[in-house]
Amino acid sequence: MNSEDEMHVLVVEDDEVLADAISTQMRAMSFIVDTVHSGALADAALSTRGHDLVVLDIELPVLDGFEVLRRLRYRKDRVPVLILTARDAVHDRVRGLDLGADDYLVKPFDMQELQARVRALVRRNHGAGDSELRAGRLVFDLLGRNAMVEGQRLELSARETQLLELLLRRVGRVVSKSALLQGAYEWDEGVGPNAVEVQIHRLRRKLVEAGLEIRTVRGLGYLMKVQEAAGQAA
Amino acid sequence: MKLTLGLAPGASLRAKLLYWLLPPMLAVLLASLLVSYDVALRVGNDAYDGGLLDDATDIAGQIRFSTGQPSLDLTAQAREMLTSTPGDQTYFRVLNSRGETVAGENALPLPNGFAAERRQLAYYDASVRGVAVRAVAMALGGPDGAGTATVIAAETLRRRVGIQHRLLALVLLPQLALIAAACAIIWFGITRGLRPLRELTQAVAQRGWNDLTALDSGRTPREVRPLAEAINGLMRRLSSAREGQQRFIANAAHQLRTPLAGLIAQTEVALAEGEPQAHRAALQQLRAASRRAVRLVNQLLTLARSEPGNEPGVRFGPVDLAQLAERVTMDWVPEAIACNADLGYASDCETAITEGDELLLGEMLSNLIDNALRYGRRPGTVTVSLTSRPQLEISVQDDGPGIPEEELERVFERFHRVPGSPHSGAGLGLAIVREIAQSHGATVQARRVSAAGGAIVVVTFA
Repeated sequence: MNSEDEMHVLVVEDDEVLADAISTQMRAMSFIVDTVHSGALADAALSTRGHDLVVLDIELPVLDGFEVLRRLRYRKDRVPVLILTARDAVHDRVRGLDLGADDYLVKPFDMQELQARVRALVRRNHGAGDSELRAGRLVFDLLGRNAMVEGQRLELSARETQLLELLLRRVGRVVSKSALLQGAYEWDEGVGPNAVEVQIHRLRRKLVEAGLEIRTVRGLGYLMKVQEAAGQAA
Repeated sequence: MKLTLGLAPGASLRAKLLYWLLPPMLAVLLASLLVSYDVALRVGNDAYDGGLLDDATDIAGQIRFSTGQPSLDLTAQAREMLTSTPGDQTYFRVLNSRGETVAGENALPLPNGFAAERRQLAYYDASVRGVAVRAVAMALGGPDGAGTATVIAAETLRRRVGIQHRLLALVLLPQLALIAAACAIIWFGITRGLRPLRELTQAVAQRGWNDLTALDSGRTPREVRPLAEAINGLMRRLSSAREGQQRFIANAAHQLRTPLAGLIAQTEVALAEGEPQAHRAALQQLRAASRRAVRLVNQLLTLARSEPGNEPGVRFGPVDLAQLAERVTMDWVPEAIACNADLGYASDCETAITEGDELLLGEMLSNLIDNALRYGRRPGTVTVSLTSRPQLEISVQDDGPGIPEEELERVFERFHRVPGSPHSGAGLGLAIVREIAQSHGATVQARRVSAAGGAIVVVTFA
């Protein structure tokens, strides 16, 4: 088993330009990267060396990605596999996941998306998730359940803390009102959406200093956004 | 059709026609056979019955009455003549008025209910010691009305059966020959009659895949002409669909050239530049051009997928439009924020189940939102609305300049772009929306919100 700071990634991609870009990106993420351009070489590499992650293209000549994956799982190798495919037909994705892939990306994709998926897979495989959430100037300690802005502790009620965590986990994306209601309130309290509005209003004021804003999304819910200036400063 | 009862639907036309023609024809022939056989039989029987009566009359002529008591005195020669008919055994019996046998065969019975006093004459079937016979009984009176006698003459059936068989053969054989001839005629008639169909088959089979010209339907018979014309109709539709696809491929290729040209140009600019700042700017342009190319390719793929018949509704299943609209709108919020647009959602129901392809319906809504964000005002408002009553409707409204009145229909055409529109795009977004809507039996309409502007596109589900 490789140590945490020495992760080995196998990139299997027959398009050399794309393979090069992915490998470069992975090295920038401090992974040790092996790159192969065919299914047969991938199969050989996977049966001898231990990898911590495989980025696997499906449309490979002769031995395709599905077959490489099938053989890998047949050897009872549980290494996380991220599939890359140019096909977005549903049954192709389902087939990949059925064969034991952990995630898939449809080509073309943003490098940021690839980074995020790879991080999630590595984190999932190494058990412990992050112990803190960061956004803007705010650091949220998941164990201590408190929020700090530049060393200063934010005064938050238990409910506000709960709402903050839910929004922080999905920064930049919409969190529906019902999800907030379910996450921060007991079912039997019988509170309406208005209670959420009131709490969000209070939380919003407290987060100005942290460079975070909570946007109301009409008819859907709320979205936490890092303010432009704060984002650059962080 | 229930007409194929007893025959596989794929059985040959010839077999089917014979199957339906032969039984009634056989029934008619059988009936005519029975009638003619019966008539022949009657005529034959009547002739033999006449002969039998002659015998009975001959015997009656030999009867002598003395004091009302009949007696028959036949010479051996006369008896021999009477009882020996070639081929058949002949019997006779003479009875007096008390019913006692005066002469002849005792075992020969009288017919039922025969009364000699009434001078009856009766033909009947009987049997003598187990042998079937045909008999005639004749009553006669003595001279001066003194006493009566009954004469019975009978003969075995050999000659009658013989003539029956001959008659049967004479009637049956020509009838059977007639049936065989009819079958053969039908068979060859059908073969001949089906020839135009065979010629049509050959004409279609010999076609090359790209020959979509009309078949010559002038020479086909009236019954087959609708088929030929239907094939021609299909050819016309195929031909126009193929032209449409060729136009589409050409259009798509031309559209792809633009972002690709941008890629090459920007790459060359970057290679020629020494300044890192200029490199960065060129690379950003490269990324923008690549993204435009990707968007175009994705749209083309969506169009190909929504093409009716390409992937027929096998993936159709129950879809909750309310859930779908909420999710898709949520996914677009970050993009809307980046565009400085207030994207919101309004609905009058919690769930709205319909039959459809979830992926395509999501794609349809994505295109509507994308369109509204592209052409709406900045900062501006875009609203996705779901209405369940009176009809299931999903609409996206923006507060941009709106679509000119004369363009409201044409915006749904592939590769059509509103003249003077400032934004880059291939003009496929709304075409995708319309094609997905159509494949779901829904209609789509673009309207102006008010004279001041604003566009709303409404998809109405049936």
